[in-house]
Amino acid sequence: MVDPLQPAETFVPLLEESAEDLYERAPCGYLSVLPDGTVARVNQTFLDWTGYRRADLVGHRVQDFYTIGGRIFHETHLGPLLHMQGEVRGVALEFRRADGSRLDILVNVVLRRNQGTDSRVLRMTVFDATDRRSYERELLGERRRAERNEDRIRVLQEMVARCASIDRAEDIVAPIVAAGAEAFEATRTVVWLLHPREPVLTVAGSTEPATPPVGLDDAGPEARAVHTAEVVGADGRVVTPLVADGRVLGTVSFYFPAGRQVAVDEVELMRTVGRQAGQALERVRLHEETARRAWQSAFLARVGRDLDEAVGPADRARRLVAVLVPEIAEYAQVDLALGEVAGVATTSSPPSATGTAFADDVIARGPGEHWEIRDRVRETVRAGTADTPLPLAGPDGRQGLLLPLRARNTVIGTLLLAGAPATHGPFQQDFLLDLADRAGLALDNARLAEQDREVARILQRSLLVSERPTDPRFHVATVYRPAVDTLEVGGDWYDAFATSADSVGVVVGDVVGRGIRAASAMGQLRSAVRALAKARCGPAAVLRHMDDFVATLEAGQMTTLAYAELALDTGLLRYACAGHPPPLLLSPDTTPRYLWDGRSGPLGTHTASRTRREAELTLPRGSRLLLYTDGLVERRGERIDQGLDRLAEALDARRKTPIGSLTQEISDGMLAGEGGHDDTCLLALAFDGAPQFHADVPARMSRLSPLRAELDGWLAARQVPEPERYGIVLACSEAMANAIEHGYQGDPSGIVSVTATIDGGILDLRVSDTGRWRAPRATAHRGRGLALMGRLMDDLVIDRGVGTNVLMRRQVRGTTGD
Amino acid sequence: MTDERVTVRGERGCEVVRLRGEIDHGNAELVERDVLSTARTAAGMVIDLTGVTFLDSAGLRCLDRLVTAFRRRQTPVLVVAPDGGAVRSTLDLIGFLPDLLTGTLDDALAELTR
Amino acid sequence: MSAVARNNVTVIGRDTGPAIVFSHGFGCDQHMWRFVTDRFVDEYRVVLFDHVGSGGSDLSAYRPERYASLHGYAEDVLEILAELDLRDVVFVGHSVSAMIGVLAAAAEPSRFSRLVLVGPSPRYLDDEDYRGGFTRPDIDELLESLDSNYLGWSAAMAPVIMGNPDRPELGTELVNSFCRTDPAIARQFARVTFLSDNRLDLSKVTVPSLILQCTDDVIAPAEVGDYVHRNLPNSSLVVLKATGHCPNLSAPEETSDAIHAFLRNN
Repeated sequence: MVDPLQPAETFVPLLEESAEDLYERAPCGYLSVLPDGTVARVNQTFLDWTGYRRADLVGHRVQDFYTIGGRIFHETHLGPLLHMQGEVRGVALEFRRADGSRLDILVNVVLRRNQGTDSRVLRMTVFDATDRRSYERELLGERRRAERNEDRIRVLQEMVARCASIDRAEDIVAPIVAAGAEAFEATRTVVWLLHPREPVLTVAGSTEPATPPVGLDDAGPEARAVHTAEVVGADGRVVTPLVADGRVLGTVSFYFPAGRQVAVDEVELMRTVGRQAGQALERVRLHEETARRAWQSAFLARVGRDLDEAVGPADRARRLVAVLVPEIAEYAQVDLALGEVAGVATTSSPPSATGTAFADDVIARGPGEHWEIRDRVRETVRAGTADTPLPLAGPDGRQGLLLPLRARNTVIGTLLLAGAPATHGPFQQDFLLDLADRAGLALDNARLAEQDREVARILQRSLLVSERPTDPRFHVATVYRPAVDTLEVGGDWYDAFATSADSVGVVVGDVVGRGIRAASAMGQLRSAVRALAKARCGPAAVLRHMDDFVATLEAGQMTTLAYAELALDTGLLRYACAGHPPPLLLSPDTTPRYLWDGRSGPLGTHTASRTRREAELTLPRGSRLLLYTDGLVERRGERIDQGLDRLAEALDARRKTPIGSLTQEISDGMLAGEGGHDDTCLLALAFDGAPQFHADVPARMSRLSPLRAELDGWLAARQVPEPERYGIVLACSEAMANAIEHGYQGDPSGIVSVTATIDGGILDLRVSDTGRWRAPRATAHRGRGLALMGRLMDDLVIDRGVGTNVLMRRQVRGTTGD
Repeated sequence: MTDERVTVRGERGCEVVRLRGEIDHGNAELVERDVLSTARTAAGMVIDLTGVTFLDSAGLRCLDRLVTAFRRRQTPVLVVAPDGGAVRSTLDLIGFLPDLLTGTLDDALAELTR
Repeated sequence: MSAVARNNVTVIGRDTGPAIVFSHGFGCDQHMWRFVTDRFVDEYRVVLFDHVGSGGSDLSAYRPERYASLHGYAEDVLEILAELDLRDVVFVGHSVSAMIGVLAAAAEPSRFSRLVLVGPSPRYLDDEDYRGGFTRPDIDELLESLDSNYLGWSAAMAPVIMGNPDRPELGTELVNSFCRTDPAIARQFARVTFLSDNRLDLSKVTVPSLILQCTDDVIAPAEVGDYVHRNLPNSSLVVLKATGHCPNLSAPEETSDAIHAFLRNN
């Protein structure tokens, strides 16, 4: 066998002897070219490679057989280099074959000078670089593809990282769009999200012109990508579905210029985009949903709390609007005309800042123009079957949702929510309906409570007789609350009446039972107590006579009552309790205490003590006495002494509360959260200090006249006779004028305080300012003012410290209590 | 403007200045200005306080200055303040010259035109 | 950075002599003038430079937007002249630099006393009646060849493709030590050069100019030279015996003689 690596001597001489053959058949092309490019000689190998005949080349310029690029390269690079260096090696060039195809070659060129003649020739060896070039092309292509995919994968990894850190669904858009541009050179990338309930795709994120939604029945690639859950290419774009757990959440559309080929590996990457972004979207949606639910339940709880704080349906409606705007909607409107509560809007509560009692049928509305709700729409909602909010278009073009306000299986009104965010979908309908239900119940509760109060008012009016004593030395305030769950009139009553010119009697009683019978018995008992009290026989005697009275009035038996008489001149209080909770006394500078003396059994009792006892003590002025029925202090699951403690605390906490609102506040406080299964009476008797006049007047001379009239009226009410009144008023006016003129020096922002009391026939008048007294020049008229004051009053003291106090005192005739 | 507070009319050759309502620190200077600018020189001048319901020290000063001003014009002046009235008692209390006081307008006019 | 450093400016010759600026064309650098400058150094202050992207210029100064047209290169020329404080220079531009000189002289005539345009072409593409010598497909093929990086530098490509570009000896050894050109910039320069159309700029030149037209120049054919001569005011046309596109290399004597003759007479 012949070893091909060993020279076979027998062949060598045959071929290699021939230099001609060595030239012609060399394994490379060989060209001899004159300096101007004229081909002088060419070997057969080159002819074989190019398909030219020798005659085609020799005598012609070699440049003509290059490609254009080769020709220009020859002129601009190769030629200059040869001139400068004399040779070039391994330069790539392109020849044009006879058949027009391209021949990739590598060329070495040497410039040979003929010594002496200075003639020059270029010797070119030409190597076929076709395989090498195609290999290079492949390598280059592969490398470019690899680099491209590496870039893409990096871009996608960035996208995934960005997607992982978002916490709002809409934030998914930016990373996807960035990936589309960077990974695929998409001219535009659009993210479509599938609507959670409707079969439409909407563009996510803010796009310049709002793109209309696309239905899933659309023929476009987006809808098809949703159906097939696969990448779809059509209409200049490639659409990949956003997929998570096998569900399609939306699509991403990558737009490309015409003619762009999308490679298989690109499609795979797009699919990856869809999967990765889809999972991120699903995660963030779950997160959002959890957060939303937590927020919603907290919000519902807050609505409940806030509404509970307001009294009355109108106030609650306004409160509701205030709570809803702007967190739930830009505009909210509560309309309670649907139920039986039309006209409640006329409640005298003043309009709040956020809501207005608008028309008879509208309770409250948010900021903006009022929405007219057509009757037909109301009927639709009223039909009560609406389990979805009713979409409405408002006067300002805003979208709105109309929700039924339901309570106790009835639609009592409507709640209108307009504008973002309510109408823009972040809230589930269920939440909005829950919200409306919660609000409806709160409003209805308020409505019922309002009705209760109405009943109570009527009852109160009937109970409180017109001859209720008016005497500046005491005040009586009362509250009656019927049992909420029955609305049946109970047997509790209260009464207050003068027993003499200088004494007042108060009573709170509780007839056993309910309804007409109890109410009728209560009426008779009330009259009886009143008649007996006026006989001035004292509390124990009153009770003894009442025992006799109920002997003939069966419904009155076992009635409990507390009765007390207060001597207004001395403050002596006499009281007695017939099986009734003890009166609660609050005197100035002490804590409240229960009066546990003077106790005996209920009226007509046969089991408890019928020995009627009474007790007495002297009240200092400023004392307050509470009488009440057991409904106030009884609470299920609580011992009675705990209730009594709560009442004492409630009273103690309201030392400064004016007597007029004291009973309402205590009643509200004690009964808050209670079902109100029993009716309740509460009476407060205030043994006031001396009657007092007080006014704070701006330091203007023009205010003198009204103040004089006010003071004169007060004095008249205290039976101060005319001439004395005039003198007192004049003295007061002079003191005030001094304060204005010299204390405040005409500064109208100053305040002059005027206080007057009459106690025991003595009038004390005090005029105070906080100005800085500037001593006036002594003039006749100024002296005259002081002289007037001095002569009109018995005592005059001018006390200058911080500001000036003018104290004047004078005996007055014929005053009350004198 | 003092409107009804000050009216001036001629009667039996005298100027009768009738004041009404309350004259106090709030308006006494205006009253004085109005009277001085309205009342013409006449044989006599009557300041009628019958309709005045309240008069304080500023009102007294106003009276003072009016009387002084008219006297400077050589015009005899009388002030009418009904006996027993609040204003009269104030004037008495402060020691208003009894010679200048009469109880009724008629008395005043009679005295001035005597 | 100064224009002198940016454009690798070389100043040789007689300091006090009038200035003559040689500007190289596409594909090479200032070395292409090496056979010509000898004939000028005794008399002239000779200024040589490399266009940005070529030779020893600062490649980092290459900004595609600036060099998106020949005006950017013309600005470079003007900046060099301003920095060297040169006026009334003789500007010798080869190939595309001929048009760069035209643009510069039109913009600031006071900098220039005369122009010498070696193988100029205001437009390489044929256009209606105009014969530039190349069709659009020709140029596209050239650009594609350059874009694919298959011309000239391919010997150095294999190692780069294989991820081993750190062998500069390949680049210098296999290609050349002259006419270094950044391939990416060369592609862009070719695009700007061969797609430019400066025919309307010719009439803006006011200084006397010489057109050196080679015999048998495939890049700038004779009829293009005639066109330039017709449209360039105050111009003379000399047709050289030299063939090809680079008489400054293939026939430096003839080229220098022609320039000298022109400068003497104008």
